[in-house]
This record gives sequence, structure tokens and C-alpha cells, in this order.
Amino acid sequence: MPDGSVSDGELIDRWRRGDELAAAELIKRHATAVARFLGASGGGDDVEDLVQEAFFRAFRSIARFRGGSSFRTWVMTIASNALKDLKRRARRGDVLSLEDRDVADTSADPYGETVSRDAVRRVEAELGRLPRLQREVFLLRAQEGLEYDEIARALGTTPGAARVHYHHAVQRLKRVAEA
Amino acid sequence: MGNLNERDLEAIARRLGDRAARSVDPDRVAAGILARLRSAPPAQDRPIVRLFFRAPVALRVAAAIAVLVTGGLVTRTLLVDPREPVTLIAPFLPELSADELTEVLDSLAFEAPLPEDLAVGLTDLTESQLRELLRLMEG
Repeated sequence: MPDGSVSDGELIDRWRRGDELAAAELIKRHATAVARFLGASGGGDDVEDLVQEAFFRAFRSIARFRGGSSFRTWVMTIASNALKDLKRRARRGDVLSLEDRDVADTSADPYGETVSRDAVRRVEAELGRLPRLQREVFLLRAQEGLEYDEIARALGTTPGAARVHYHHAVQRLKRVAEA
Repeated sequence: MGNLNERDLEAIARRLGDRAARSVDPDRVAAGILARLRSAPPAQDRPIVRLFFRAPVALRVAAAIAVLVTGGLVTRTLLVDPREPVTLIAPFLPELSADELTEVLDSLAFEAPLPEDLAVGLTDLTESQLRELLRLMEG
């Protein structure tokens, strides 16, 4: 069984040679972070299904992974595609509309003591409505602490553009939180 | 409530994600994915053009939807505030980057009923494929 000392790159090579344990290790390393990203992106109750879909797509198209960004960041961008597909199907009525769901209960959230619960809910709802690049840049920076360079490589844009997307996202979220 | 700063917003974003992260069992997810990978046929690296030919009706429908949506948006913009300048995308197509092309296609609410097993999104397309798709959608 691979341990934490094996790099993602080596695990990817092993998976390319058909080693399922290597794939399982990659999933266990990154599934929680991908779930966190999807949860904040509006994945609702579908987060686990979306995480599965994202890794499934990633492993099936692993030949396209060039290492320009980390494996985790790459899977997150695929997860964002999967979420968009789900929302598209929801709009067509194929699945329960994500927009129809209540935002998550934050009553047990200690952060609510300093930031009003209502503000948290508004931020959560607005995150789901942000233009995709703004949301992805904001979450990759907020949750993963990535630098603009890596964000830009992952999303196929420039560091300057990523910085602008982040700035716009913050301004928009501040507006709704303080409304 | 006082004004929120960047750190407040980032903390909220992390907490929102934490809740979802706690609900996911990585072992269960890994087992599910490996089962799917075993049962699904291996991915075929097909050129996107061949995919288009597999679903020509879907693309035509998508192009019609895109033209209608774009036309509607332009009309709406003109009706809501005729003083605001309207920017048409076509003249600028050659100058757009792959990222910008993807954003444009996203903004057109592209809704082609492609096959369910198709693991290809806009971000999987090359720049030339994006241009071709946008040209198709413009009719």
C-alpha cells in the first residue's frame, strides 16, 4: 500500500500502469479537499456523488494531465465541470434543482457568533451564483491557499486575471454579506 | 454587524466546505470509483470533431438555443437601457484566448443534450475546438 512518502506523480504513473491501489491512495489523499471545494461551490447534498464523478473522469482522462498544476487542483477543476453539468441537468428538470434546496444549517457554526448566520447564508448562496472563474479562483485561494500563479495554470488564465477574478469575487461577496 | 474583510470571507468559505468534507467518506468514495473504473470501458481519446458527428442534431439544437439566447440578451440589453453600449462578440473571436472562449461559451448557457457517458467539458477542448464550436453556435 502506498504511503504518504510517495508523490502524487509517482502514484499517477502507477495508475497509468494499472495499479488500482495507487488510484485509491490518490482518492483518499484528495477527496476531502475536493469535497470542501464542492461544498462551498453549491454542491449541496450531491457532494459525494460529485467527488466520485470528478475522480472517475480524472482517472479516465489521466493522459490529459500534464502536471501544469497539482493533481488536486486539476481534479477540482474537473469537479467544477461536474457540478456545472449537474446544475444544467437540474435546470432541464432531470434532477432536483440545486437552487431549490435550502442553504445548509449553520446553527451549530461557532463562526456564527461573530458573523451573523444570515450573512453566512447570503455568502453561501452568492458563492453559487458567482461567475465560474471568480468562484474557482476565490475558493482555490481561500481553501487551498494557492498562489495566483498556480491558480492561473490550473484554470488556463493569467496570474493577473486570476487576481482580478479574486478581487471581483471578494467585492461581490462583501456586498451581499453586508446588505 | 461590522464590515467583513477578506479573511472573514475566506473563513466562511472554508467553513462551508468543511461541512461537506465531513460528510464524505474517502474510503467509500475510493471503493465506488474503482468499481466504476472496472466496469466502464477505457476512455477513448477521440477527436472532438468525431463526437460532433455522432450527435449532429444535438449540436444544431445547441446552436439554435445559443442564437436565441444571445439574441434575447442583446434585445433585452437594448430595451432595458439603450444608452448602454452593446458589444458583439463575433468581431473579437480571433483575439480571444482559450480561457476567454470558454467563458463566452459558458455565458451562452450552452445546453446540448450530449450523451450521458461523455466525459468532456468545455475546459477539455483545445482553443481551435472552442473556436469551431463558437462558430457553429453562431450559425
